[in-house]
Amino acid sequence: MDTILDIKNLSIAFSNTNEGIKAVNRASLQLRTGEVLGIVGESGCGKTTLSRSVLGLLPPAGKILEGELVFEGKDLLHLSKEEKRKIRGREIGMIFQDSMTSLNPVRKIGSQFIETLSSRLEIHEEQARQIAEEMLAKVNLPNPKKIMNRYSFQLSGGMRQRVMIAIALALRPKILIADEPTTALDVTVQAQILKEMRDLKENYGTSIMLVSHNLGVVYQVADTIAVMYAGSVVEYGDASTIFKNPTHPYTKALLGSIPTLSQHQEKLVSIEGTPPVSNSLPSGCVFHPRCQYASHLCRLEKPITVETVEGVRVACHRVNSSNYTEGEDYIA
Amino acid sequence: MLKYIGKRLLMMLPVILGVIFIVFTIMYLTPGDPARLILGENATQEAVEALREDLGLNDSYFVQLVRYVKNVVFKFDLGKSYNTGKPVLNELVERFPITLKLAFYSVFISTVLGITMGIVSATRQYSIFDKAATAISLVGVSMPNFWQGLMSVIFFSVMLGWLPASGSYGPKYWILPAITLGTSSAATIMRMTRSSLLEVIRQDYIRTARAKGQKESIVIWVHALKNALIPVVTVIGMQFGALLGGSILVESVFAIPGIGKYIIDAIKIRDNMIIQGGVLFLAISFSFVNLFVDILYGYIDPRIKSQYKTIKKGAAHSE
Repeated sequence: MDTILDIKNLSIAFSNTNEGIKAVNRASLQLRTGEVLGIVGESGCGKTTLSRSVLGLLPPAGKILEGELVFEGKDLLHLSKEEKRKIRGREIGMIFQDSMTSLNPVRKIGSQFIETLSSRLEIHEEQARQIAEEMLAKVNLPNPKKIMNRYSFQLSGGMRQRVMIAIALALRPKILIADEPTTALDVTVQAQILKEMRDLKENYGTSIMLVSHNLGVVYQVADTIAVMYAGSVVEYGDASTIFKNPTHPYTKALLGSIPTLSQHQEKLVSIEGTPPVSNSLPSGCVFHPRCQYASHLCRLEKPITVETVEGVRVACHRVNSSNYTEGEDYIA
Repeated sequence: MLKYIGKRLLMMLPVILGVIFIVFTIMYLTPGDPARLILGENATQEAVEALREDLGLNDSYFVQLVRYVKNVVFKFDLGKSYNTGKPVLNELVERFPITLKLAFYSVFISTVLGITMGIVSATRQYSIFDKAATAISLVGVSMPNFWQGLMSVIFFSVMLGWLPASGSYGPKYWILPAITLGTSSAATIMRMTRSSLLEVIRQDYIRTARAKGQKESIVIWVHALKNALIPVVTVIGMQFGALLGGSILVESVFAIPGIGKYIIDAIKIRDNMIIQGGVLFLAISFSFVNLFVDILYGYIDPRIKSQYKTIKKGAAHSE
């Protein structure tokens, strides 16, 4: 499969200076055509910032310090405002986490939908209305005509999220970035949204970048997974391989903290400590203060990313260093 | 909606009674004898006493207040001018269109200026224009309109001779008074538009509009502005109400025969009936403007409109 989006050594900071808070630190990922890439990690790990940077939708304080965002051979970071605007929605679509606030509260759903289609696809209003109704039906919304005449606050969370998906899909983007699309939705609605994403990938060959902190959600749809911690990609590779045999201690800990029906657990496993604050990251490996395998080397040196036999890229001294000695006296 | 309007009209009653009570009490406690002012310094004490009896000024405070409230509430009678003997209500109704015209022109100028400057300031935050507009608005809010009126007369009428200094005989005559009266409002509207638009621009649905690839002009004018103007409409309404009362000094400076000048002239000769009636008339006008703004709010913000409908449905179900 061809790579449609190549993120190379991307670093993003939030400040007016280069010394600001680093939200993303030299992240590298590839999204292939027709693939679902899941980006997982705890809140504040930089996954949302990374996904928004693709569309150039960082807040005013956000600044890309280095790296490349190559989409179909073009570096998105070197495009003009107008060129970026043309790519948004049409080539790369995005659905956001909070559907309640992502739709304009004083405009009807139909008006927002039709306006988007007629201006971006350059079609007549009637044609746009027809497409809008078809798309709303495709995402399993009952009575699309009625929904077109409603405001966002008159719909449930699941309905709003499906409206967002319908608007994004109507423009037939090559890439769909879904930022926590199932957060705050009940399990049945979550399942429907995920099914719609799978259908989208299978029917239209759309590449999807799915951002989530919910490993269960990612497990259901992702082909490839990127695990992020404190702004860095710590493990990246085939989803089934990572889920079956995680390499990085953080990925192991994340998977270990998921309760299962098959095993009887007295107590849920949790990761000790808290994620570091972006403006005061620990030296060496960022995960070392919380890692049960951490050694003296982990505290001193930042691990380089290496590829395992199974083709998974991991940033961990246990995998890539002959100097690593497990359990070596370590003082956090 | 009709139920809501009815409720609001009923709520206006205590406001009106409160205004009557306050204005009447202030006028009652103000030193000076209206009868003496009407008849002049040379009138005999007997003549003054006879007039006081005739006007009911010898009655106790409470009797006078009850009589006035009865006349206003049940007969819509604001009394007769001590000076001319003409019914105050007729005089106010005659002058009201002039005051309304002045307030309307002022609001029009202040809205156009305020919203335009607010939008440009918000979309170019921290630019030279934004800083200049903020500074100008600060001056506009701080400047007393009677002083501004006098300065504009000196500059545009006396020195440059471009515009007439007083009267209300044609379109040219309204320019200076409307600008003078509208300056402070324009500054308030500008600041409100700016802060409201800046807040809206940061909302998620604006980011969504950008993510869909909408042109920045559509993002601002179609998505952001409609939401940003919801609180601004309230401010414009409040300003309009305030301008009805605020026109008192401006009408005096520019010799415009509206309610404001009528009240000022009455204050000079202590014509209590005109003062009480005029202030009450303006208070009622202000209340109606507020009611209109609240109704308008329901139409421009669908969330409020849906609340009206929900209340209506709830009432129907409970019956």
